[in-house]
Amino acid sequence: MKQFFQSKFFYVVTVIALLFCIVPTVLASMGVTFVLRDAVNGVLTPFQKFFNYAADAMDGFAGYFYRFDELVEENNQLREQVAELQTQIYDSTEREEMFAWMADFLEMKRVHTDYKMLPASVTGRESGNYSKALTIDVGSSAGVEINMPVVTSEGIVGRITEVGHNWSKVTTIVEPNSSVGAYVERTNDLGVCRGDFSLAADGLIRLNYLPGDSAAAVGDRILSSGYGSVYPRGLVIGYIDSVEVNAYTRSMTVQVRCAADYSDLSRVMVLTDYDITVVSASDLD
Amino acid sequence: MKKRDKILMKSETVISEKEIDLHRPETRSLRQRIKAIIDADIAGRFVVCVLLLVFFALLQTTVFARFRPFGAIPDLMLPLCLAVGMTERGRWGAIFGIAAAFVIESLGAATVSVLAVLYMLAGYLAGCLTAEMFRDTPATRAAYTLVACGLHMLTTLFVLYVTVEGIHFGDAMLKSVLPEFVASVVFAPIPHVVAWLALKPFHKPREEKVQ
Repeated sequence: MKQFFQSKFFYVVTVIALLFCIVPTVLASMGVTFVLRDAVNGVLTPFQKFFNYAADAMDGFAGYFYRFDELVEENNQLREQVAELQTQIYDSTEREEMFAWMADFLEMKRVHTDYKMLPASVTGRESGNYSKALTIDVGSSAGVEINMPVVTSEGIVGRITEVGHNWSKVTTIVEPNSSVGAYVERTNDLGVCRGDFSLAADGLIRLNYLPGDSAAAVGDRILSSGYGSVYPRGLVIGYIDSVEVNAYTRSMTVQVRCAADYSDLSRVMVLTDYDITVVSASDLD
Repeated sequence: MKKRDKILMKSETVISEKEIDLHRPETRSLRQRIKAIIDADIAGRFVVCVLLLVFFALLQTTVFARFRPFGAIPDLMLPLCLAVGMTERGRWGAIFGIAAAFVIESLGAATVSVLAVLYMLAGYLAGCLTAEMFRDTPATRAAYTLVACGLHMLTTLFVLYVTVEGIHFGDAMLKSVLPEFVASVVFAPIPHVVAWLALKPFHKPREEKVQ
């Protein structure tokens, strides 16, 4: 066996093998790529890609057999994650709505610094078809009293007509018995908004007692005048929806579309305190 | 009797007469030697060895690197070097070993190159021992594989201690060295069988030659 290590060939290949060990190691430690190594990788990389593709295919096929339990477990975990994420999405959507509402709340507070507002949620609506009353989730325990105005950032909703410990009934302004002192913002004409049974389903109310020569037109904004000591001045009631002039009686029949959408109310604000200011005709001139 | 004649006498397979011509004085001109090489199927064996080298290198660095049987990548090149050495004898085994080490370390982006010496020795000694002492049987192939894989454990330990700071001997053995040894031994028959089948057409048994 000694003769195996005594041949010239063995010495030569040993030296070459040592060179193939030392040179790439030294070059790698210096951060230099060995030219031959670069050439080998350059030639074989496309073939490596093909072999990797084959390995992927084999992994996928073999997975049916040895990864079945693992896949079932993973599927169950993913189902739980999806359910959790769906709950988070739902909560997130709710929070978004809350934030939007609170932004409106703060904007109102910024404009009307004298207002003291109590947020409330609508918990119920009228049980019959003849009333547009709402039930909210705040009552006497939160300081709510009868005749307090209820508003949203869009406009007036109504007033408190019944108070419980932790609930209250709100009569909306579309109710036939409701009336709100109002004025046309553009023309400063005073009037009274009154609910009408025939118009309530469409979210409309009448604006009465406008002067016969009023220049009020469709689209004009109607605000509360503060007259009546229930609603403060400057709150939006709605927008003129139609104007009819009776030439014989020289009177105008104006219908106003309420700004607050009663069908979609979920959160409202109760004005527990504000500075009472009554607008008179001379103030508006 | 010259040394090469002794080797020829002991060999189980008959090397072609054309290959013998290579060593005769009248064939030493370059053109004649090249012609003799081509005639002696050496070119064919060279191509087959290159294909085997590339195939198993890619297999080891892609498929087996993905599946990692026993938690390690089996070394297919070492049994392949042994197989080529035992089939084609010491010189081919040595050169094949150096090439195999270089290719596998290039594809694997090794920072410390130590396999060239191991693979060269494995191929060379496997070839020489097969020619001089032990017949080429599955038992001898298995024995050579076990010894070579055992030596490979030492090189793997050396590389781990050089490249990984603060490595613990137990961790190295349990997480890398032993799994690699087991995986290499288990999958060693594949390169042995493939190489034997691929190179078999180039070697005719003595009985066929006599006929």
